[in-house]
Amino acid sequence: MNRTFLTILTKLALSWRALRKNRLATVGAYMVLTLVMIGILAPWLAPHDPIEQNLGKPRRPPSLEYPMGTDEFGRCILSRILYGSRISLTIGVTSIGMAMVVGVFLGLVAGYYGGLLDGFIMRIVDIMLAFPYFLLAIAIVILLGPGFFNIIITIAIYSVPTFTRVVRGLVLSQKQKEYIEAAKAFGENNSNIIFRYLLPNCIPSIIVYGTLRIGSAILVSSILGFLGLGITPPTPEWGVMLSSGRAYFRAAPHIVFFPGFAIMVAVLGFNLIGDGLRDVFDPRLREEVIK
Amino acid sequence: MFKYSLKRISALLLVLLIVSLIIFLIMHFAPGDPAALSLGITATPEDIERVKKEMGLDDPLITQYIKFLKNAFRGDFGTSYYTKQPVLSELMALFPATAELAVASIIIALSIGIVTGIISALKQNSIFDHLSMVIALLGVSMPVFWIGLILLWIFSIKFGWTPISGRLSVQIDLRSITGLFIFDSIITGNLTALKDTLRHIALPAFTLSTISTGIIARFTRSSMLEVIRQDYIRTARAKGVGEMAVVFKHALKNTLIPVVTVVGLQFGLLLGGAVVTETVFSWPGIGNIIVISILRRDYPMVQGALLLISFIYVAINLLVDISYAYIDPRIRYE
Repeated sequence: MNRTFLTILTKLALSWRALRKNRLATVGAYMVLTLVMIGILAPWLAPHDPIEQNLGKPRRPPSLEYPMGTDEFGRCILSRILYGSRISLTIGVTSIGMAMVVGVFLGLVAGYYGGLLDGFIMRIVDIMLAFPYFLLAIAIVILLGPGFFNIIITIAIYSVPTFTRVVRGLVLSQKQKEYIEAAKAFGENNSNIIFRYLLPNCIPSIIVYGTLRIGSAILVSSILGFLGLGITPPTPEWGVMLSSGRAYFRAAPHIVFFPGFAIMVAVLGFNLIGDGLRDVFDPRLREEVIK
Repeated sequence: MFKYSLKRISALLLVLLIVSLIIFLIMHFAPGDPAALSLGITATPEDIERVKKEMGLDDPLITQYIKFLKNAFRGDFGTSYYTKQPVLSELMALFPATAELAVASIIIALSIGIVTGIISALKQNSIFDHLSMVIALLGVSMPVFWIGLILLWIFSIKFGWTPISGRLSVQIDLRSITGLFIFDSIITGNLTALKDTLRHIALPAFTLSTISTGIIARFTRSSMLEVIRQDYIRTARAKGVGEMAVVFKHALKNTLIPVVTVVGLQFGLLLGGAVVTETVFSWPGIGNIIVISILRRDYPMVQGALLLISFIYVAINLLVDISYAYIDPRIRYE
């Protein structure tokens, strides 16, 4: 296991070095890092309680006391956004982490063994991808119902097929290479070949897709929240905040503006890192840069 | 070509069959008792028992699914719990609104995306290139409903240029023929209605198009960058063909071939995105009814709408695949 771990570590170190040269990706990394810090430090940063209602001060415009104003229940929007970063980050990272484990495993198995198993797994993937955009997520959420954990599970299931498809493609191209032939000639068993030889070589691409998918997971959870199908109030989820502020946004547009801006920053941060990583790992694009 | 199409169509039928099974199962296991839901809150336990029998809810699952499929083939998707009307006729009444919105959005996305992509590629690393790619990245990262609400605030509330919601002002009379209001007002020569419809559709269509514009722009850009370096382009330039002719007569056609494939995928994004956009702008289409019906627990309606949208999406992808195989014969032999 030591060698596998080292290979992965080397690859990560190399990609980090390459990534730091990419300016946009660095910006993205700082954005995400800031969000993580905000999430951790929310209790100290937030000027007010994010849940407590203050019915005497509804829909106040931004002021010194309430830098982003108050919502329809007089709650401090800034505090809610700060706490909300915990929710969005947790949903994004956990759901994609779960999807990654399942999706990568299925992709490895499908690509390596081929045949009937591959056909079976890939047909399921095709069918899940036959739903337009996040309608699959909507369908799953109908079944599971709203709520924090259900949203994580929903987005995890919804994200599995893309991982499977990407990893299977990678395995198919790696399978032909000499090092796999050599491993087979040495008499390595199948699970060793899959997890110690194929997996480490797929890790960079998996990280690229994972990062990009975290962005879209945050986006989908906010969409579900906005539609009233996601996390339930009074949890300060950004999409939910935006949705409940909609009714008042004629007179108090700040209730809608700030949560949406927070969503954009989070998604953009992950997308920038993902794009940067892709430039690093996609040799065709790298050539372009060198030229 | 015929054989390829046949193969693709049979694969499509299988996918649709399984998609219908998944949707059926989801609705079956969704919380809430259909018999009670269809009767409303005033129902007595005896009523619920009776309706359960009538609806065949005590039958084995497989029997219920086969019955559901049989009915669906005949165009019977059940009755809405809420309006008590047949689901299919309700959906058909809403469908033109979504179709009009999706087509308008794809036209906007294609025109802005392709033009920006081409200019970016031809002026690679210029300010225009960098700026448009940053905007494209922003477009992918911004939640659609947020863009929609901000546009609504600027254009409808601040300036009053566009209406807040709907497809047509109440006081305007338009004879509906196809249900596509732009089309209808053109063929009936009703200019007032045309102007009003366009004012209504402008914001929703633009909002929805933002999902796709960035992707199409980035795709066109990289495709153009690849094509412009090919030997035949160099030959054309060497022959002394003008730059405009090189771009539009030689490069453009080959640039757009791969773009065709993304258009199919974009329709999926647009149909899904329509759920959000229609909710923001109260656009009376399929996407809007999906959300409303989920909140009302009107499952037959949700089921029918999801089936219809998946069917359209799969069918569009099939058309794109076949046309792609037609444009680029190499695909057929893969």
